[in-house]
Amino acid sequence: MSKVLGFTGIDDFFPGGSIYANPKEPSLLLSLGRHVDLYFPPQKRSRISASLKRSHINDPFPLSGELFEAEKKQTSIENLPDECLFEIFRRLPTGQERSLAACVSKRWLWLLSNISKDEICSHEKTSYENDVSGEEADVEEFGGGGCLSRDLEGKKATDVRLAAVAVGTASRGGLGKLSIRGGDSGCAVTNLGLRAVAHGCPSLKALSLWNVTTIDDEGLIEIASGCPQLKKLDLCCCPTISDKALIAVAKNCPNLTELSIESCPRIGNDGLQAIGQFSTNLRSLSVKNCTHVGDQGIASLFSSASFLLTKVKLEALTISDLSLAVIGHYGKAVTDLALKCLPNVSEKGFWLMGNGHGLQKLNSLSVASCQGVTDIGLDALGRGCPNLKHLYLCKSAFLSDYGLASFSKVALSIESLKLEECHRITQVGFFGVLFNCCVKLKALALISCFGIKAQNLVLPSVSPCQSLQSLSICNCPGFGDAAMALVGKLCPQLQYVELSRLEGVTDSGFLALLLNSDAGLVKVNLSQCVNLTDKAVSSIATKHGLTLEVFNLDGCKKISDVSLMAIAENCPLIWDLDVSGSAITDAGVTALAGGSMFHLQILSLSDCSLVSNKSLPALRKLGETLLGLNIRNCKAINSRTTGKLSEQLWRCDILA
Amino acid sequence: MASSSKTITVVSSDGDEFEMTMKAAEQSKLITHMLDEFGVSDKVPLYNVNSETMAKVMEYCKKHADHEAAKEEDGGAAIGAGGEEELKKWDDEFLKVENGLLFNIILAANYLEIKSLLDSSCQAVADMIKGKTPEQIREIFNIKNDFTPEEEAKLRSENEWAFQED
Repeated sequence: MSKVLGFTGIDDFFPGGSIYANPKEPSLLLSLGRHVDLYFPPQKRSRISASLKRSHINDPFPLSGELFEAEKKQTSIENLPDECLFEIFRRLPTGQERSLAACVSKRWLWLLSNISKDEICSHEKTSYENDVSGEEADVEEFGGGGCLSRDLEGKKATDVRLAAVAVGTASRGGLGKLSIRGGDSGCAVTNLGLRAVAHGCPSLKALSLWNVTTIDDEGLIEIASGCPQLKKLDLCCCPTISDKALIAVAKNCPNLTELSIESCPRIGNDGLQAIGQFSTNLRSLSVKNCTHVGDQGIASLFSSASFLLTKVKLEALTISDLSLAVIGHYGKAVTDLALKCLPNVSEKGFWLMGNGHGLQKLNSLSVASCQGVTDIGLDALGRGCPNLKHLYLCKSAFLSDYGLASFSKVALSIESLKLEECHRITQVGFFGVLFNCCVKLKALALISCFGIKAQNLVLPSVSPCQSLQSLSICNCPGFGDAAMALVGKLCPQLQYVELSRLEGVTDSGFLALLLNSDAGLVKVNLSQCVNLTDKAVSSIATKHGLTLEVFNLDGCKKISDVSLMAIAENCPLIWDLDVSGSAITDAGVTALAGGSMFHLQILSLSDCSLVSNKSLPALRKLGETLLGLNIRNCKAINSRTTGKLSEQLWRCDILA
Repeated sequence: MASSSKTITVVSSDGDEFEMTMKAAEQSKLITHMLDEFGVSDKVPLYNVNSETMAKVMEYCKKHADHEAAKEEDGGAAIGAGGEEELKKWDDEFLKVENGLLFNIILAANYLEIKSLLDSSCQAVADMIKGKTPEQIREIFNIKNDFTPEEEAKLRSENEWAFQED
C-alpha cells in the first residue's frame, strides 16, 4: 500500500505508454480530426470484451491525450470512456434529467442523444432508492405519441440542433414530424444528426429532406431502423441517397403511407421494387425527375399484389408505354392519377391504359405535356375509366375537337373538365362538350386555348346544359361576343364564372352570358377584361346583387365610380371585392362605404392612382368589417394615411 | 460447502500486490478469464488500476463474495430478508468517496468487468447529476462548456421545459 499516494496521473493510469499492443488503437474519434467539433460515439456496448488475443481490452480509454487536463491529479468525469458515461446516463430516469444533462457539453449531448428507449434503466429493482412513487420512471413515455414537429432550415440545420431535438422532445410527447431544408449556403446536418434522431425519436411519423447533400444512405438507414412508425417520407434533391436507403425504409417501416421522391438521381428501379414488395400500406406515391426510374421499377411496384395505392403522381420520367399499360391493368385502387412530362409515352400507352380496365376507381386524371394524349388515347380513357369525374389536360397538342367530343360522349361520369393550352380545340369542340355532357358536367374550364377563333357556327337546337355551375374561360383571345351569347343560351345555371383576359369580348358578350343566368351568380371574375365598362358591371350588379359574394374586376381599366355605386347599392352579400387597376376615385370609395355592404371582408384597390387620402374616412368605415385591405401602389395615398389606417383598423391586414 | 482456500495475487500499476480469494476473484470476469488462460500460479498484472483503487475494489469483491457464500450456506436463511437491503446500504456507504476515486472505481469496474460494482458506481454518479442544472453539473465535475452561445441558446430553448422549477 506504500505507493497509494504515489499516483501521479496520466502516465500511470492510462495506456499512453502502456505495455499493450495497440495503445492508441485508432478509434473513430481520433480519426475524425480536430475540425469536427463533435464526438462520435464508439461502437455502443455496455461491457468491454475481455478478449485476450488483443491487448486485454478493446481500449477502454479511447480518448486522445489532448482531451485531458494534464495538470489535474484527480480523475475527472471527462476521463471516463463513452461506455461508462453511457452507463451513467442511462440511469437518469426522467426526461427532465436527461435534458438538463444534455446541456452540459457537446460530448454529453451526443451520448444522451444516442440513448434509445430500451436502454434506459427503470427503477424497479433498485430498492435502496427512496422513491416509492412511479412518477420518475417515465420510460414508457419515451418517444411519446409523436405530437411535436420541428423544421430546420439552412444554416440553422446542424447536427447539434438535431441532437438537442432528439433529447428535448423525447419525454415531452415525442417528435412526430421533422423537416430539414438545406439552404443556399448548404446545411450542416450529417448522418450523425440523423442517428441521434433515430435513437431519440422512435415515434417519428413524417420526415422531409430537401436539398440535403451532406447526408447519405447510412443516415436514412439508421432512421429506418430507429423509427419504425414512419408514415411519410419526402425526399427532394438528395443526390446522395440511393436505392439502398429506400430498400431499408421499405423493409423497416411497414406503416409507410406516403412517399414522395423528387430529383434524386440515385434512386431507381430497385428502390421502387422494394417499396412495391414491402410497403403494403402505401397510399400515395409521387415520383418526379428521377433519371434512373424506369419501366421496371414502376411496373414491379404496381404489379405487387398487396397494393392499395390511391394517389399517383409521375412526372419527368423516362418511362414508356409499358408502365402505363401496367398501371392500366393493376391500378385497381387508384383514384387520383397525375402524369406530367412523359416524353417516351405515346398514344399507344394511353390506349393500353384505358383498355387495361383496371382503373375502375379512377376519379381524377390530370395529364400535362404528354404528347400521347390524342383522340384515340382519350377515347380509350373515357371508355376504360367509368368513374372518371375530373379531367385536366394541359398542353395536349394533338387533341382535336373530334376526340374531345367523342370523349364527352363516352365519359359517363365526368363532372369537371379543364383544358389548358390545347391549341387544336376550336369552338366546335367546346360546344360539343356542352352538348354531350349536358346532364352531368358541373364545371368547365378553358385556359389559353389559342385555337378558339370566331366561327360562324350553326348549332342544332339543343336543350341547355342544366348541370353546369362553374365556367372558366381565360386568355382565349379568339373568344368573342357571339360565342359568349351562345354559351349564355346553353348554360342557364351558372353560379361561378371566370372570364378573364378576354380581350375579344365586349359588354354585349358579357351581358349575353351573365344576364342569362337563372340561378344567381355567386362568384364573378372578370379580371383583365379591358373592354368591360360600367354599363355591364351595373347590369350584373343589379341582376345578381342578391347572390353575388365575390366580384373581381382587377385590371378592368374602364371601370369607374359608377360601377362602385351600383355595387354598393345592390350587393349586400359581397365579402370579396377587387377593383385594382381601375379608374375609380374617392367618390367611388365613399359610395362603397355608404352602401349596404355589411359583409365586406376583403377589398383590393391596388394600382388605383385616383384614390387619395380623402378616402380615409370611407376606408375607416369599411374597416369595421374588413379583414384584408390592399392599397399597394395607390400613389395618391401617402404613408401618413397608411399609418393611420394601420392604427385604426387593427384587425385588418393591410398591404400598402 | 468448504470455502476455497486458494488465493491469487494481483499486482497494481504502482507495483503493490494484493491477495484475494478465488471467490472474490470470481466477481471479476476479466480476472476469471485471465486465470482460465494463464492459471493461478502467476501473479495477475492489472496495470490499469492503481493501488488506491485496487484496495477499494478488493474490499468490494471480498464483501460481495462473503455475502454470496453466506447465501449459499443456508439457502438464504443465514442472511434473512433484510440481507439484500443491508448489502445495498453497505454499497451506498462504500461509494461515498471523493469524485476522483469514484471515477477510478468506475474505470476499474469497467476494466475488470465487475458488473455489480459498475452498476452501483454509475448509479451513484447518476444520483449526483440528478436534480442539478447544467451549470451546477459543470461546476461539480469541472467540465468545460464547449457550446457556442448560439448553440447553447438553441439547446436551452429546445429543452426549456426541463429548466422550469417543479
